[in-house]
Amino acid sequence: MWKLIKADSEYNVIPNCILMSIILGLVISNSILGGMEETIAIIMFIAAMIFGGGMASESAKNKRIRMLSTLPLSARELGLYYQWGTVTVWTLCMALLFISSLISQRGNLGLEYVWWILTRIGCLFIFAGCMDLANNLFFCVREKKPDKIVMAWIIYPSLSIAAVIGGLLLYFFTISLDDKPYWPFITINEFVSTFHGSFGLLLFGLIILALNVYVYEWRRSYLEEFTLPV
Amino acid sequence: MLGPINLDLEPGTVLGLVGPNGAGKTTFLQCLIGLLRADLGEITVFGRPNDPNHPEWKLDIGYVGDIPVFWECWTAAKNLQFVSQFYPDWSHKKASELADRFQLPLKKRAKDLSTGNRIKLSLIIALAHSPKLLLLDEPTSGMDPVVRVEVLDVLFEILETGDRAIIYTTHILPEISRLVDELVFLDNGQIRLRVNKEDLVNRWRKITFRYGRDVIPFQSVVSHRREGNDHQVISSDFPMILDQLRELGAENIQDNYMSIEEITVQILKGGRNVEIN
Repeated sequence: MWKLIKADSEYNVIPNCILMSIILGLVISNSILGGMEETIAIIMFIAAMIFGGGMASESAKNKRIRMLSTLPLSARELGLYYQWGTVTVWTLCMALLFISSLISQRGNLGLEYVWWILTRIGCLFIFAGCMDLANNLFFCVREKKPDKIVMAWIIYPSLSIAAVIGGLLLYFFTISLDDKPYWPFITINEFVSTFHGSFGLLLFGLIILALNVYVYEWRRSYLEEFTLPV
Repeated sequence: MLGPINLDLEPGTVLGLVGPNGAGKTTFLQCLIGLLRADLGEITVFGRPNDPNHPEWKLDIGYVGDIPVFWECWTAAKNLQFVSQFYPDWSHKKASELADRFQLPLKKRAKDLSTGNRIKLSLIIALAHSPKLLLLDEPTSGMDPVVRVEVLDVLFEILETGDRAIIYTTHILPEISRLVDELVFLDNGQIRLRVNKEDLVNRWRKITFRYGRDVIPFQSVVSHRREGNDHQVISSDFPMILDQLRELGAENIQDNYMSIEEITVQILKGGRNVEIN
């Protein structure tokens, strides 16, 4: 798997440089000005949603699975490789944001900020994991019409919509919203502002990503990485 | 829908998979290499199940697929270098020699390679680790005649050691007659006929004869044409037809050999209506 990850980083050197420049620009701004955490986290989250989906449908990567699946690599390794990007890039983003806040606050960060970071990491893992799960499950069903129809028109759209709406809602519910006294905002916000809540969310996200690795092994087709089921 | 298919292959054999479009040739190869999972049954390669989580069995296989896929922004050379990491038996010397023979521009990016050159790159990837089994899905399509002959020569050289086998699909029929030992005709996802090439050539004949009356429908007659008293039949078991014709008192009986291409076309044209014994 490390060979694949190394190859991926070499292959995407220019997009990675651009991405890292933007991320560094944002976090450096935060370390100088301070108080931009929420804005930066929202920008990063939405960018990850848009670019994550866009990159998955990029034709070269979409088809490259055909080449990788013929190499003597186990399906588990490939499944891990496909989840690796989500985990590392997003964790790195949040870690940099955390460091920038630490600098801007001159080291005076409370524990609640750690829970805040963990919550954001967990939210994206859940969102990205659900999107990937919908895709992997689509390739797990047999090439028979009834199975494919149920998958294409019920399970795949349900999981995708749940991932998008759920991911966004969950994310915005977790924003510190002192001026919004609505029930779900307050309750969820209180929940994820604790060690148990934020860690639970992160754990749940990791479980979904791990589930993806497991489901990946049971795919019936490795001809396409990503597809629209219509 | 593919199968049920029972197929075993001896070392040193070239098995030609033939069939109309949609017969299941590509799907069959994709199942073998693990790109598709069979709903039922078991696929074993050199005695090992083709388990996606224990991929050691892939070390012994070279595969050229219907759509060659690479790291498109990398050069052909970089792609070869990448793949080489996964095969302990990879020979850089062999890869380089093959690139020279196939006149592959190694410095070009994969996305800039022509269809023929993409297949050449795929072939080098499949051959450079000296696999025991080669799965080739129309490997010479899109190639010019000179390189096509070169590719076939390379495949012959591989077979010289006698411990390797090839499963080969193609629509270029002269290649079948040159390369394959056995032919498997696939139709609608099922094996319709598996036959040794020599047997096929020895049993199929184009027979002409003169006979005044309507001919009783014989078994093993694939096609029958009549102009007046002159008949021409194509038979998949000519000794039997000859005996029957002699019993009937047919005159001027002549049998002519048919090429593998002609026989294949007859079988494919006939589809499920051709009775083959």
